Amino acid sequence: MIIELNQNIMESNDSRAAEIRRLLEKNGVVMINIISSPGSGKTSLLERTLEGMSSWLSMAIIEGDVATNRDAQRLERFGLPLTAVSTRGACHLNSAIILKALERLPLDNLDAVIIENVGNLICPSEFDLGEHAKIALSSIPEGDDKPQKYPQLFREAACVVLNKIDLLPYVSFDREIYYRDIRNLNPKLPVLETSCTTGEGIGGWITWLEELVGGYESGSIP
Amino acid sequence: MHEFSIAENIVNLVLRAAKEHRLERVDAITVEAGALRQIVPESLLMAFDALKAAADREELMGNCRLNLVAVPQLVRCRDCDAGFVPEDWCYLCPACGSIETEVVAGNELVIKSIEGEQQE
Repeated sequence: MIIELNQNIMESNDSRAAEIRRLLEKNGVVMINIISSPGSGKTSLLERTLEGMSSWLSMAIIEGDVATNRDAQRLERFGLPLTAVSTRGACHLNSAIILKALERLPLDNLDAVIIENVGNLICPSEFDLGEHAKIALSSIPEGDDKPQKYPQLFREAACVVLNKIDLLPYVSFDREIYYRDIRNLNPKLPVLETSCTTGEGIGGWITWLEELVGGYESGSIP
Repeated sequence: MHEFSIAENIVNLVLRAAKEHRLERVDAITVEAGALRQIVPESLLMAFDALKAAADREELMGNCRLNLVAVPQLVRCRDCDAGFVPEDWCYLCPACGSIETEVVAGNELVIKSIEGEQQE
């Protein structure tokens, strides 16, 4: 016999992601999920962000790592709530891991939670973590073909950070191709150029982030 | 390799459905996978084959086939209502150039049906 199921395969992840959204909403917290390849500068971007961020914003970090907690160690000096989660070898975080991590954070005292996902451009974009915004971080040395090769991430992102912009004179990276492909994929997607080494563009990124969190708190983000 | 997590979900959902419908054997599972879900069929099938052979479910689904049905992308223009399949990952409307387009098919990841033998 044939049984029609029409069953969403991602149900267990999606239902926990919905639970996370309710939990964040109850506490007035906005959650951001940073996704990139290994070595694009996720942890460096967080370091620069925490150095330059206004003090009115109370943040926590969920640090996803496959095996070690090295990234978490780099952020400990900021003295903010920090939860390191290991995927034990898996290539992505899922909503069950994030829900557990959120239980360890003082949500009622927070404005924002930033998740540093595992370095990977495909798998993390398939798992809804209950975040309000995905940030696609890519960097100049990775090449200008990232939007075409990983379209789903750029379709779903709320913002692109193009990091290591200081290396532009030294590698072949065609800015025109990169921007054209992003415009074709997701015409309204903002692209912010940054360098965590020189500090260029970090201010613009922080402004974007603060406006996102501020907009959420004043009710303008669903 | 998110295919492994997806295969795990499929097996768990099918085990649940088999119990609900009192199936003694599941012979086939039909899954619809949208073009946007970045699934490599070979990886999903390999993961599924490994998982279905686990001792506690070998009898129920050891010979079960996974039929993957690919669902192509379809995008619709909110301004001129044209439907199109994006070429070279371009989501601008090819008819009127509008940026106001939405994906109407291609995000599916669904177990459509299962086929099996019910207990006496």
